[in-house]
Amino acid sequence: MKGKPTDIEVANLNSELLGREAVLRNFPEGLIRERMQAIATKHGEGDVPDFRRNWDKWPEEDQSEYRRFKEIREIRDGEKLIDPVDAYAAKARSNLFKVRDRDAFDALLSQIDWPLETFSGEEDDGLVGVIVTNEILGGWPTDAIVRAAPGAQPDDDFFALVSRHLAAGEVAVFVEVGGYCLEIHHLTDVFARMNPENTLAIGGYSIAINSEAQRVRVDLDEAYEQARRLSPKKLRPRPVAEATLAEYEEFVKLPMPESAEE
Amino acid sequence: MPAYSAIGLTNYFRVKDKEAFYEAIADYPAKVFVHPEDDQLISLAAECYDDQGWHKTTRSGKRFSIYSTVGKHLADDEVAVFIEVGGARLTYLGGKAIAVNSKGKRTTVDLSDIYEKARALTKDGELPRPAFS
Repeated sequence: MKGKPTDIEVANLNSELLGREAVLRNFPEGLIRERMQAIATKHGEGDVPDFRRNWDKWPEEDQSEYRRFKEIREIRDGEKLIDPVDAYAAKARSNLFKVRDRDAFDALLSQIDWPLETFSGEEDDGLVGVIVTNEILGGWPTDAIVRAAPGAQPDDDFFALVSRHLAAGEVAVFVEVGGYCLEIHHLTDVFARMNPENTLAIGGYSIAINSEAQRVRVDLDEAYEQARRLSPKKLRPRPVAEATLAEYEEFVKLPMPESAEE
Repeated sequence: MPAYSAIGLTNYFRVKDKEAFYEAIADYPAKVFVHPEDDQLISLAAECYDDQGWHKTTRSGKRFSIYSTVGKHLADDEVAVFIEVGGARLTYLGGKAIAVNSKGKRTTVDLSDIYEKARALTKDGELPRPAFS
């Protein structure tokens, strides 16, 4: 995809999103309730959630704190979407393949700080596949995320890690498709919500790797390389305007949102 | 299989005659975007992104090749690149890119080509296992 950010940019972007997501999604329900109740009790309120008789008399800072925990609870429970963001949203899925040791493979995935899940085929044949469950994080784990996992080598990427777990002669195929979108929320099906007005560019790639770490790749960007052989003129891919690209850069530099860790 | 959703976009390209081009695609389900700084540059987007990408028929059901039509209308030496990505929830993901020039020549890249390419990685040149069973 033209204008695809560098790995470092993606890692920065994703660490912010992941940080926010992880903080909010994993915030213990008991702690949220405890904090809200503590503020309410301070003002002589009862146990009925969200019914505060003396709300107007609460100091503004307590109202604000109470609202903040209420919002965290709503986000945590999926009742409220996080503020829309501009992001590279993608879907990623592998084929079904055989690994040498399923437990070791599951342990590997759990050590990568990325929303990865396994799936199986309809037949009970021991085959496994991998999907990325959060589309807004941008597809397969970035190299920076992978290399932070225990046991990863400095030049590893996600596909190399999986390759080491493949049964002899197996080939894993990974597909990622996505686009740079403006103003999207955390979505369950990004393509159903993407539209030409909010999508700046789309692209994708697929990688196949075998148990000996040999790999091949197909990238939709190759169409632009091929197109250059069809015309001597300079191509004008989307996004075309510098201003549009700048918007994405601004997003990469977004300040860390207010989190519940404070 | 769950419903397939896809989105299709092109790069910006010039056509010989904008009015004639608009007339040619009037019945085709696509949106036209004009470059904000150069109104002779056009980009298309597949309209029914929640169904399929670049449609093979017009709204009235006639067979229609958007690639051929754009190729015929492109200004000299122009190239249009049609990209489409989509998926059926998480059961299938796909992507395709077709470039066409003003002489009607085309090239295609399809992410599913990875399976054919990966024969080189399997023993006996077999295809890798599929994405779902």
